[in-house]
Amino acid sequence: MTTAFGANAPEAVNNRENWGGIRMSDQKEQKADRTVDLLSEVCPYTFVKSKLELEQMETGQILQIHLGNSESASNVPRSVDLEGHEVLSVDQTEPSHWVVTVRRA
Amino acid sequence: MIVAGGISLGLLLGYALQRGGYCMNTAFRSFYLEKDRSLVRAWAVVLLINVIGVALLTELGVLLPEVAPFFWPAAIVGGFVFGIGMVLAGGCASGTYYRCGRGMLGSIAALVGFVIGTALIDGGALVEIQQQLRGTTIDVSGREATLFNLLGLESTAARWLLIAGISIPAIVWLSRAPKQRFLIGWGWRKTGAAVGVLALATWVISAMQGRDFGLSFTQPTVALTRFLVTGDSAGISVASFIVIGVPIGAFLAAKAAGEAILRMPDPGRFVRQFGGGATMGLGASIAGGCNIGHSITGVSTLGITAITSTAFIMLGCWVMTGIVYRSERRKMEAEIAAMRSAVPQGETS
Amino acid sequence: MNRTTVNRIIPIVMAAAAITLTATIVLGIIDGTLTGGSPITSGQSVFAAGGSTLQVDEDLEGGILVIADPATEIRVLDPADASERGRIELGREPATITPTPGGVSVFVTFPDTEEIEVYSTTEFEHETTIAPEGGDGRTPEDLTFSENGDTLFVTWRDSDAVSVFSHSMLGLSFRYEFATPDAHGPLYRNRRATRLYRGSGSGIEIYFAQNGEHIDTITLPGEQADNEAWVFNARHTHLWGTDASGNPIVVDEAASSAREIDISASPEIAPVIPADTEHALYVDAAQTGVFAFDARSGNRLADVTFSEKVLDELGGRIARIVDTGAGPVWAIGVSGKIAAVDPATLSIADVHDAGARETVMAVSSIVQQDGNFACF
Repeated sequence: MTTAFGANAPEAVNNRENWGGIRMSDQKEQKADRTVDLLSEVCPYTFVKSKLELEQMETGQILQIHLGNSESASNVPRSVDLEGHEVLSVDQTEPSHWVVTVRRA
Repeated sequence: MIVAGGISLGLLLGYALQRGGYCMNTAFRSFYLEKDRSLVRAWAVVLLINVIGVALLTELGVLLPEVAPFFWPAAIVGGFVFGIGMVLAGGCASGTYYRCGRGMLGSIAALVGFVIGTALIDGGALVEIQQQLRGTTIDVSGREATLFNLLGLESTAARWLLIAGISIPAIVWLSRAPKQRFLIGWGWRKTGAAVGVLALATWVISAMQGRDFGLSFTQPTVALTRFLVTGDSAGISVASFIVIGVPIGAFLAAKAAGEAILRMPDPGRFVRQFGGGATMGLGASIAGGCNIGHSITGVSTLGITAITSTAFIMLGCWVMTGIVYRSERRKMEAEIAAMRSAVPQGETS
Repeated sequence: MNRTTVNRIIPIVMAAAAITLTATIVLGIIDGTLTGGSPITSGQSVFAAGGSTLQVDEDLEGGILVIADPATEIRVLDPADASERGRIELGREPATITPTPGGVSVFVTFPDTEEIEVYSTTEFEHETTIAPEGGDGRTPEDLTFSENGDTLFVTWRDSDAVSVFSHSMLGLSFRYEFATPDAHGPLYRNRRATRLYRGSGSGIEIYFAQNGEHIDTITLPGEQADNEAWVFNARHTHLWGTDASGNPIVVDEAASSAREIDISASPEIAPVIPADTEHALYVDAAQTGVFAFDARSGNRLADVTFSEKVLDELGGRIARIVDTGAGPVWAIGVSGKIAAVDPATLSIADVHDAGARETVMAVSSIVQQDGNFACF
């Protein structure tokens, strides 16, 4: 499901520094416990729904969030991270499709 | 030349907004729901550049900023209504414009709603509401309603002291920012600097046209609509050309990042975004400005109306986000309850 | 188009946009649009005799509106050479003529009616008749527009009231009215029309334009001249008038204080301050020359007495000076001939015979700028 970045992925995403040290390959083996499709959602619904999904889950479970715009793909992981959850990866799978994998804290 | 300058500025602004994901809806909301302050910091950088820049340009005699009279009922009601609309529309006035350029059809619905909302108030059927709410103004020693005049600061030195008093704590706060992680596009420093410089440039090229105001989206939208519908070019200024340039610039930025794609939300969300846009339009027309006209340009002049309006845009945003949050939680709880009573299964999709 | 081409073109487009924007601003600084005209120069060297470089943009709309003989029509004159562009037939003698800030219409009041007639200054035709709500049969005395034209302040004959109207597309809607006890004469506004100034003989009363509250009184150093004429500089920092004995009075708007300049100017002829120089120009007491002051500092820059040849053409005396808003200032002589004066150097570019004999009124109705708006 998660593929490497295309040639046109924004520079910053390719930049490992901005990843907080997470390696791309880390999550390739991860199996999501839950998946939420927010491809056509915009803020604040993206964050609200992700947050609610995480609240329903148990510690250690993995949530895969599908997002359809770059702001959400940037803001959701940051907000989720600051909530204390662990963001495993952010992947751009298609020009307008990001997959965020989070481990519930 | 000014037309070319305006469109160029719009292109660059649209590009910066898209690359920076500069959404003031997110910035305002983050105080209430989230711990991430990146976009608040971007906004603070924009204000820092503009408060200092506008004061400097005023001192040099290049411009004399136009400041809204303190019609507090309109600022409060309009700001609150705008804040509510912004959440439903999934983006502020500027956010809606640049997302249109990216091909988000929901934002195009919101923009159409915004245009209709503003048209209903400005010279439209609901103009009475605006007039009633703007009927009461508070006199700030008979001068423009700005913090400078409120505090009775007549001398140049006193004015700069106030600016320093505001800027220095902001700079200290910004310098203590943690590293911004999970970045796509530009970080808050670059975004804030780019939007800030372009907002200040708007003051400058507007001054060349005798318009003593900075970046705005509401009035130029109204003027542009009126021009397209009736051919009346009154009110068309450099700001209208900027507004034209923004979606184009955003499209180019999105195209470069491979993000430009036509995307249709489901019908419910489409209608919701349209309604949100219309609500934003009503609010902006009542308050005399949106998240740009008030929260960037107006605040840059330390205008009291703009500051009040911004506070109530935030409040409206928080209230509506709270409502959305609660209703989504209820929906999810109901779903889970329904699922448990049917086949027990751990996953939804 | 493939992706690499797109990715190559987009930065070029953005760079071009950045260059265009920078160029616009730089050009604005160079040609002075940004800084409000050439820096003020002083000293005699700039007043060299000879040809003037005054230029008038030919695309300007509107014109200089002159009421001459017969006084039942407005002549619209070209600011470049005072040639007649057309005449607006009024049918009777007007009380006041007030161009809209857009410059393409003129509001005309008459001594015996509350109605305001609106005429086009480009088509020279009657456009509409406005009966201001709340007029109650009173006759308008003076009309004052806000700079962007969205507000009109009306003073009434035989009343100390000021009525405030919203103005849009040649329509007026009544907002409110307030009293100005002891004050009389025309109203003057600050740049944003947040303050209104009205003379009261020995002082100037200041009102807050958004609710009509009386704010302050500026005490004048001398009794105000009968012409009750005041003029703001373009930046609205200083208000210039004349006292009864012809001394110019300068009011500092920010400090609300007034001082007098001891020089004999004509107490009858209203001063002018052209926007592009910010020089306050007064006709001297003998009405044969012009004084120039820096409108902000109040420094006396220069004075000239017109040559005998020019004075001969003007009929011996200057009757009034008019800021054309388009470069030259017109000194209109009692003969009706017009001398075009460079407001920066006070040199005379030309003398025109416009047949403006026995001029009773003259105002500029030139469109200089397009874009000054009330909303955000």
